[in-house]
Amino acid sequence: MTTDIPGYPDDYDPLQSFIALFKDAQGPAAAARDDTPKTLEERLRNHIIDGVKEGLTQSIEEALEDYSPLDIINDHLLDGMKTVGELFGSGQMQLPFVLQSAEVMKTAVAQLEPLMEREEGSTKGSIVLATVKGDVHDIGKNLVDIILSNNGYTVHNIGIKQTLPSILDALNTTGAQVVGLSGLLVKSVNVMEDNLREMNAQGIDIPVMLGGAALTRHYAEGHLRKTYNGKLYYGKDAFEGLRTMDHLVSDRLDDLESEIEERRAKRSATEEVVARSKAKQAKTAEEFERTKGETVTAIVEAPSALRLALASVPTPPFWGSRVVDSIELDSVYPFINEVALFRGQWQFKKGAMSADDYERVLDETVRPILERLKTDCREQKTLAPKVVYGYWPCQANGDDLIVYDPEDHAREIERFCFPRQQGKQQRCLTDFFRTVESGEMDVLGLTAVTVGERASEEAQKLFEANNYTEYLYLHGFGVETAEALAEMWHKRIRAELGFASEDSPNVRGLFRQNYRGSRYSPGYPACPDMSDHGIMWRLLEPERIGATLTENWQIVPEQSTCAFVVHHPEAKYFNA
Amino acid sequence: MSSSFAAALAARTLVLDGGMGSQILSRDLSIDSDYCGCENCTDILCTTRPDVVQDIHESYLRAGADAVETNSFGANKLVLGEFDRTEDTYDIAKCSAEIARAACDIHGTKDKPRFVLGSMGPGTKLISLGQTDWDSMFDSYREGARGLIDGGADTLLIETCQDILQIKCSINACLAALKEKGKSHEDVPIMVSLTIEQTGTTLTGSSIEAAAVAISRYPILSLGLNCATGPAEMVDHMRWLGKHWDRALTCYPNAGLPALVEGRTEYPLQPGPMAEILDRFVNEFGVRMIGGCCGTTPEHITELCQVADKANSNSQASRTIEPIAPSSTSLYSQVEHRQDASILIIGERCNASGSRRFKQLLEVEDWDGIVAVAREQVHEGSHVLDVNVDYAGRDGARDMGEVVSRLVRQVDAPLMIDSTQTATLEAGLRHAPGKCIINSANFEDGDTKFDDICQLAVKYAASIVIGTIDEDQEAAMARTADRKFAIAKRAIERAQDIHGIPQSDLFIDPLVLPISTGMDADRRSALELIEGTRRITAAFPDVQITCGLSNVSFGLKPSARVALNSVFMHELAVAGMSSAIVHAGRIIPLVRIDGEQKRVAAHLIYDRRSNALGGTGLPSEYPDALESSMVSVA
Repeated sequence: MTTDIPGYPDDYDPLQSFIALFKDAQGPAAAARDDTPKTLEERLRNHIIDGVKEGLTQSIEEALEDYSPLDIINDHLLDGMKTVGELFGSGQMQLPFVLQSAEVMKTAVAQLEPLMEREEGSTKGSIVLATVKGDVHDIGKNLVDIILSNNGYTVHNIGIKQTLPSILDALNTTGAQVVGLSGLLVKSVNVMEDNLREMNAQGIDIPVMLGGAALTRHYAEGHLRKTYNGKLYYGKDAFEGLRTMDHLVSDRLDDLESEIEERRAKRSATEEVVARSKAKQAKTAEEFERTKGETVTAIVEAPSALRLALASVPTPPFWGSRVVDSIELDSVYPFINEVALFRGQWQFKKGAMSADDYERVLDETVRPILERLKTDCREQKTLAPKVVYGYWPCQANGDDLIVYDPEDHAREIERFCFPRQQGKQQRCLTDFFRTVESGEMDVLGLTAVTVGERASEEAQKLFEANNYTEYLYLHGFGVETAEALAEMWHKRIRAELGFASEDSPNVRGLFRQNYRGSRYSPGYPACPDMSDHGIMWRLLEPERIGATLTENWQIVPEQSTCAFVVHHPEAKYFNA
Repeated sequence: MSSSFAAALAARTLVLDGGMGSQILSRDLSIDSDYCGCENCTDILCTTRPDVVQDIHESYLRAGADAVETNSFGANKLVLGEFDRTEDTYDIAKCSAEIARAACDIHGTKDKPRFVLGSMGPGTKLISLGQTDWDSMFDSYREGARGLIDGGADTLLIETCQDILQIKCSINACLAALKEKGKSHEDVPIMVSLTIEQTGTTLTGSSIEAAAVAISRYPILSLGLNCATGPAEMVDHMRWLGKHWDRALTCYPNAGLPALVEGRTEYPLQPGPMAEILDRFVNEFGVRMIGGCCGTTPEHITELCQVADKANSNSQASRTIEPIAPSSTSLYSQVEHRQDASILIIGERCNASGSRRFKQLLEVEDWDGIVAVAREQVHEGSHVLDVNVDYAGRDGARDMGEVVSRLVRQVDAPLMIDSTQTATLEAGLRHAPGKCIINSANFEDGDTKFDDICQLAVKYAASIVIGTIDEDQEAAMARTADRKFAIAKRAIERAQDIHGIPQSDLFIDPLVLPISTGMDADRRSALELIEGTRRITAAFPDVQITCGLSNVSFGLKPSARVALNSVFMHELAVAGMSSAIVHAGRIIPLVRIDGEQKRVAAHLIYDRRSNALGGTGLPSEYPDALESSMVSVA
């Protein structure tokens, strides 16, 4: 079964058309970019991306009328280099062309170099730069060389595939103060780590700067910093490298250290909260084992200053859980958070664009993609929205939230334990519920939603076919549609509990929590412990809509989410 | 009979003896009567002074060594030939093993058996340096191996290796000698020990990775390092082996780097410090046999025995091994078959039937010009170079030898040895130290020729390209996805099951045929190839897939070819093609091709003529790679 391509003539023969396209072409390199860039800035970028030296000198001279040499490199040429790196990384550009681009970059820098202000006389400091053993990629490293050299540093760039002994040799002969290691391949990260360990073994603790595509800040500033006995810094790009050098040679390391510490603290804050609640949880589990199935008698008091004004407890339409699996995709689409999808998932950043320009890009480029995906997913049934949700009687007992049997409200069946804020308001999720001592029953809503596993499978197929762009689109769309479904069902729950009239009249307001109460997913700051998923799964049984948990509490398929629904008017997001 | 040495090595950390040469030099021996006038030919002492040799063995056995090396470092025809003693090769080798055996029988007990390792040194002539050739070296080692086996050696230890080609040749010689004696490497295991110079490579320039990859397919018991440096200089290499080598590891360094003191060479590293580093090798890298080379003494071995005793009294942790990624190698370095963010690009221009320039250079035997063509291709981004000298009226085997022996030294890229003639293929392989790719085998002449080429791949531990062609008189070359897949499956199973070649060393070539002729029969060629590639990839994910890409656009204008080849390569890569034989400089990134050219090229590839013209289009059940890929390059 075949079909003609719409919009082509009845006697369309691509071979004839193809030959005709090259009728006037001369030589093998006639295939060229069809659109001529309009602005100078675009032209500068394209010189680099296309690796074209013709006209480069004129473009740079023109640019020098408006920009400083460093700005030309920083804002425009390096921007082009970044695109080259992305094209290379996604397999769309082969190495020879990357090298061509690097050549042009070098030529441009050579032209600009004499014009740059440079500190005369003695050098500010010196560094040995090397691409590690087994890796031949040196574009990034060479950019570091260019930027550092132009800023008054002596750079001993010893090249690619450098073994540790040759790096140490270079250090010895040059007497450099810092060593910079780079690499693009994933295995290069292991090589860097091996090098660091061996330097430890040899008692070397010279400051080290690491960079390169495969290395992440997290890994460098976390694991590798812990591994190495000397100072270690991560350089995202040449400019961060320059900044680090400036701090290193002027002995102003405190700033760097405190920044790194801050980032580390931020990362580990969540981990600590989880650890804290883990400890508490052990106690909760013990308590739960003791009281399971019984009427709760032991009462733990929450700090009284925190008592919230009592809200009326709504009456749910039913107790226990229900599965809903016939949901129209079209009813979910309006709840998609475009900001999260476009900027977060799809990485269309506003950057330096004006709001109008950005909106135009969204209209011309991005929204058409969204519309296409909406249609495709509807027609090909790629997404299948399903929900399981319900209401449970519950009471707070200190930092524990006790969940009772929907049939027998005196019988405890599960118990969540949430962290309490340290300092600040000392808020805990349980503060939003009636306590055991109040003698009143409260209501906890739970939801789990999914758009089905086909979305995962289709995205995976695209990924394996190296079609990363479509993968990114479909994957992001699936995740955000699941979020939309959660938003939509939260609204439904507010309606069932009788306070939907307090909702924001427009969907965008919903994304800012303009409604009564809140919904919290495990992993959020107020309830960071992912293992809460385990308890939720026992209550909701989301297996019924095809959602399961991995052993580290991730939901499969990924295009799913679940939440605690809290009705208390003061319940909003907070960091525990 | 399986080897009791192999069993012991698997069970515990063993200690090898120390240096033989320096011990001999310390004895008072007569050049006339003991050396028979052959100064420095220590091997000859096996026949003239067995008492001295046995005494040295016993000094090491008393120090606690589990194994001693026979005094046969130079007992091969090429070395002994320099002393006019070629004829004595077998006797000396046999005698060396018998002496060591006698010493071991005295000191061995049931609880602590002692083993005889048959030493086979690198000799004085290397193929990669053009000083000898494969046949002479093979013959030379086979004779030495015969003697060692008959004299009762427990293993054959090919040591102090400086040239990968010498290792390949001597392993083949050992296997041949074992076969003659009705034995196998299971009975008398073959061990290999490399020598990495202070420069970080072997004498001939191979990195540890390149050497390990080139010989890993051979049935050797162990790999390790000895000589040239002390243990401290070996740390990086041993760590790499510990992480990636999947069999036993051995290490017996010199007693440090030698220094000239008052005209005498002295090795400075004392027993204690040496044991300290080797202790690290045993515990950190999982080394199973430690010992000493130049400058080490029985005192060193005593210290090493304590290292081994300590290790053996603890439970030995098993190593976690990251297998070496499937690769080919040049003499110098390793190139992985699967490239990060690229396909494996095989340069097509060193080909007498494909490149007029190369043919002209071959005609006038301008070898330097040929090297220049090869270098240009590497500069343009080729990872591997195809070499084809098939040219009517010339001696293909000779030409292949001339070209390959130059390329391997002057160009750092693995070679794809390409010929329709088995003899030409073999001539290339015996000049190439690195792990090559043979191009190619197929079933055009049935299983026999296919098997012959597979045997070449086994003998030289090479990868192999397999074209999807079979005996079918009418169809022969597979044109449909069905036939491409069926022939690929047959080839993969035969190469793996009968010849033991791993799938990751098989490059299936599902055949690129032109789509540029305008004939109906050719219209679907590209489409079928893409689908065939997809199916082979799905069924055999470890297999490599390659093709002669440029053929797709045969006959079109150069500019049109560049565009069509580039778009086609992208589509093939999406379908799972992991490699292509191309002119790397003539493949351009899709972002640089005009949108309309790209679109029509894709229509041409997928034969999207209108139905009225008989266009077959994309069958609806095929995933439409066309549209999705156009999005990603828009």
